[in-house]
Amino acid sequence: MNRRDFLKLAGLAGLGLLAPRAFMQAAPAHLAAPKQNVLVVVFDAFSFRHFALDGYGRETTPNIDRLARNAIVYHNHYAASNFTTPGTASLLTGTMPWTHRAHRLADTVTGDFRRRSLFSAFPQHHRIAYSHNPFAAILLDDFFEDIDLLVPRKELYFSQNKYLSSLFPKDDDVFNLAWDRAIEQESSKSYTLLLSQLYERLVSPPLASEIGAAHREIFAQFPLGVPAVQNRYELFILEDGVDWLSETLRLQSGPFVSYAHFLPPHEPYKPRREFVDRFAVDGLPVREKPNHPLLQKQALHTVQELNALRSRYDEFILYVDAEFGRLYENLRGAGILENTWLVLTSDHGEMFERQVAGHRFPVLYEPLLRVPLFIFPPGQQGRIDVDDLTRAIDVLPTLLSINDQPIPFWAEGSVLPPFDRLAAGTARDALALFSSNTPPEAQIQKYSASIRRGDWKLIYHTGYPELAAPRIELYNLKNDPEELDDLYPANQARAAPLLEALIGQITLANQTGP
Amino acid sequence: MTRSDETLRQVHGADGLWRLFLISAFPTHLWTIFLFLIDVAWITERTKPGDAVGVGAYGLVAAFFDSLGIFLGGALLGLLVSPKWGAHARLTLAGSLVWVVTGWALALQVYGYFGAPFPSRLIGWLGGLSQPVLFLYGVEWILVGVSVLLPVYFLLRSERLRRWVAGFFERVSLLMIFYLLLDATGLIIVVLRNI
Repeated sequence: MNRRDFLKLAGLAGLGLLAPRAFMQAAPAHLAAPKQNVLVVVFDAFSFRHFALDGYGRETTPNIDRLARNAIVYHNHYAASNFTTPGTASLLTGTMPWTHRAHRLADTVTGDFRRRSLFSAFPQHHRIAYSHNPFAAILLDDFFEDIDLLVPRKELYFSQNKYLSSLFPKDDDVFNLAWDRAIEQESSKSYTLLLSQLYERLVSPPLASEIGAAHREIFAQFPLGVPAVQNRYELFILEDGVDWLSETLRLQSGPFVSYAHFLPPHEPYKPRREFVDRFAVDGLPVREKPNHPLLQKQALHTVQELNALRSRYDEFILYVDAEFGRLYENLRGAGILENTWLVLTSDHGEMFERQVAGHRFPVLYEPLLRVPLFIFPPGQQGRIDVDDLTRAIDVLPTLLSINDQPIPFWAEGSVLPPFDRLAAGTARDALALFSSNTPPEAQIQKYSASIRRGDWKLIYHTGYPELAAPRIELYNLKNDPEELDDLYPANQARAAPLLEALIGQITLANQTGP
Repeated sequence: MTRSDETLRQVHGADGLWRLFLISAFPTHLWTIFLFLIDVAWITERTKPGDAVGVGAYGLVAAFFDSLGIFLGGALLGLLVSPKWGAHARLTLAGSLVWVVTGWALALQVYGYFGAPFPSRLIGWLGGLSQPVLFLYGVEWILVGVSVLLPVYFLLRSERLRRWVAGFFERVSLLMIFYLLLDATGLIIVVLRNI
């Protein structure tokens, strides 16, 4: 079966093969009959700081900006962590990382949360899920009992290493990682001495040529290389994801909940031809900021390197923006948006400052946490701007509320404005946690956590051997949105309630356990 | 048993083949374990300790197959050694040649690992030559040739050196048996992960 055949069949499978399971379930009597669809589109590592809507100095998202004229735009929306696993798990379960406990990169959620997710919360909808990202795919596997169509992540890659793809299907991710370390020479070193040399000289070149020859048109579109996942053979293009999603949703005959997690603009940044070098010489400099004690072990970059990396990231965002625009038009053309709540968001952000580039660092600065959230309600006319603090965990209860579905007891978020019924002046705290060494069953002891309340943001680091004592930072984001001026030493009294709330949450989580 | 297997057995003897395998397997196992120990914190930080163990297990299994390939090359190299030499001396010489070759492979990887850039002055000087690539190939062949011929020369000349090298390989072989036990553990882990 070729790629196009698969895309067609996957769409048909959604309609014909798997639909009965969804629709034959008896609806609980108290639930309103489902009428509207929900589509959540996640672009990985998409920082809201890179949006012109947030005052960024580059027009990275012309299509999204245009479409947002008929959307709700959340200007202060926060991810629950700064990398995929905890960020995605919070979005999908509506709970904070200390509750779902997926702290580490390949973690799954704990026990009960396998049946507590966006998918279990919509039992009457046809539930469809896909992720390019292997770590988000691990989470989706966790929720498989409540998903009607779960497309394996590699189905939307147009290429993979044919020698590896079927060797160890039950241990695919670890085997692929081991293969990279033992055989591949991408990092100029490998565990083996002879096999790696033979592979590099005899197997790899013809394999790469074979893939290149079979997909010449695609390679021509990506002069910096085709977007890749875990290794140089797992290649994909966003166009296939958009085509698959459009086709699958077009063929749905009943209400659906669909979650699509696309990897761009996550690194490696590989923009399509027309976007390459668009920002190479526009003179937008990276702001010089002091390094952080916990970033010393990271690969450190010069300002010039950060400028170059950030430009590529922004060009990759242009690609994302163009494909989101195409998805939107496909859905509108098929009449799907007339009855669908479309959500555009991300699992975490990306940073290019303080000498580091990327995410998943033990710091929680704004570029890593503040992510886009756009809700496109059916028939929305005009743009609604929401400046309140909002959180990833609020998305699930909001989607349930607007679909007249009950909000489950385990959801920790609250319904987002303008749909909420919070009393005026009631504000949320936006919290985040990074604890990427903590197993699900263990106490959270080495971590970075942040809390934003109003204009104030406190970041707390503890348990790191590099730090003689816990480190606390306090910023006033209204006056200092770049987080340059740590006010903690002179404002400990102001920091105290924030610190108490933050540590209180972790302490409570440690007392109650997983 | 094929004709080539028989030839190898006749030249090296069963015990010699086993010892040559142990000698050949040692450098790649040492390198695998060294790199894995460097990697383990990186892997554990990004995934889970169980996954890091899995990566190590696959790595050891790969090292075992790598060793088989190197051993086969070493055994074939041993065929070049004169039959006048006793089995012990042949083993010492073949083992030494294997170590020289794996030493070069290791040197390349160590160079890659530390990421030392090629000195810019040297690049500039090479750029001034009329045939820089040919020159580099020539230097490479000379270096490899010298690194192979020198040990052969000294081993042929010195009985004392042969005895020392043989004793060293004896100790390495003992240690290698421990590494083979690790390989077996790795294989079991790989099987368990895939059941």
